[in-house]
Amino acid sequence: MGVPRKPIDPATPEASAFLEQAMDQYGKATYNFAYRLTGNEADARDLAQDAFIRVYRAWRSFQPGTSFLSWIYRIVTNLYRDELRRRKGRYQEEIPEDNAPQEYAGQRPLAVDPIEDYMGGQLGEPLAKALAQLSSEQRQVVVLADIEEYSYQEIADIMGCSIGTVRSRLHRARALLRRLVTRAQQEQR
Amino acid sequence: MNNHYDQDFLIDYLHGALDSATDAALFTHLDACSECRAALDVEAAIGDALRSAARSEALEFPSMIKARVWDAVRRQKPTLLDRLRSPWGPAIAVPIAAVVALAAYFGTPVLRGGGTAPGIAASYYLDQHNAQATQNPLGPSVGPAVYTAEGTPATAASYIDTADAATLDNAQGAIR
Repeated sequence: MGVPRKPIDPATPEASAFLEQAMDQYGKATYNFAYRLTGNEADARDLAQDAFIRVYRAWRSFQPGTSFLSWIYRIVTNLYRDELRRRKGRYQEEIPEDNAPQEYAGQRPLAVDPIEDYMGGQLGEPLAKALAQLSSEQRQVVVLADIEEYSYQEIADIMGCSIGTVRSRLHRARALLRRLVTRAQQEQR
Repeated sequence: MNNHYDQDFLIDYLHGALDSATDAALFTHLDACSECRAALDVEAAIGDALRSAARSEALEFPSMIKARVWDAVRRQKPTLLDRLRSPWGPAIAVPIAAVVALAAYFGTPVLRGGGTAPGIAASYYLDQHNAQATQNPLGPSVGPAVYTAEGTPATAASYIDTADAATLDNAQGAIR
């Protein structure tokens, strides 16, 4: 997702007002989104800071009438991906898009615990641990789909990938979450 | 019932990502299949737990981020283009434009008349005009004839009341 780099316009009151309003209204959501991606407050602060600086630079490219939150989430996602590339020195491989769900007959491959098992135990803590074990792309999709409740299309726009990729990442992430939560709950007993 | 929907279908169903026909079929199926319904509940529970955890541990936006953003913005040096676009732009753009204009003027001899621009001397036109006026004083292609009080045509110099002295001298020399 390449937000085009716009020249800085320090003396423009509109840019300053735009940034001020953006931080007042969406600072908390942006920071929490960054926190969910990074998993720690220090990185989340840096990420949110860089995102708002980018907002200031690129404020002219924001189209009124569209979702500001989607726009800044896209910026955060890109910055996070760039940061991961810098840290790892490589980019994680894309999951093949040809991962369409298949209807099947017969026994389910995974044992599914009843809902009471999930809700009865303390789901929050195992989930938080499980989230941390997802890949960055899987975590982004889960956060956007399940916490922020964006549609697949919106997530694809934010992450700059296809709907098929969103779908396959979410399916894999959810399967991993189920396994991790189940294991964590079994360990708690 | 032996046929069940894959967990991935249920995830898509929860997120409203199925096409309408599949969505309707799954909806109908859930009514009759307790196993799929339980699997759907599990997926829904995970989503609920994620949202609930996110709400409960939502962090406040640290004021230090805001301060750091403003600090970073102020420290960044604007480019020349930025300065030109700013309200102070004319203060920079006008001197630059003046320098460019002066450079173009002094750097191009033709503009300041220093070169040998092709042209025809004014005396040539006066000669031509005088010749035409002599042949046909009332002709349409000839400029207005000016007659003196005595009824004789004025010299070519009479037409050039705004000409400078040098041009006038040239013209009179040409007529003579």
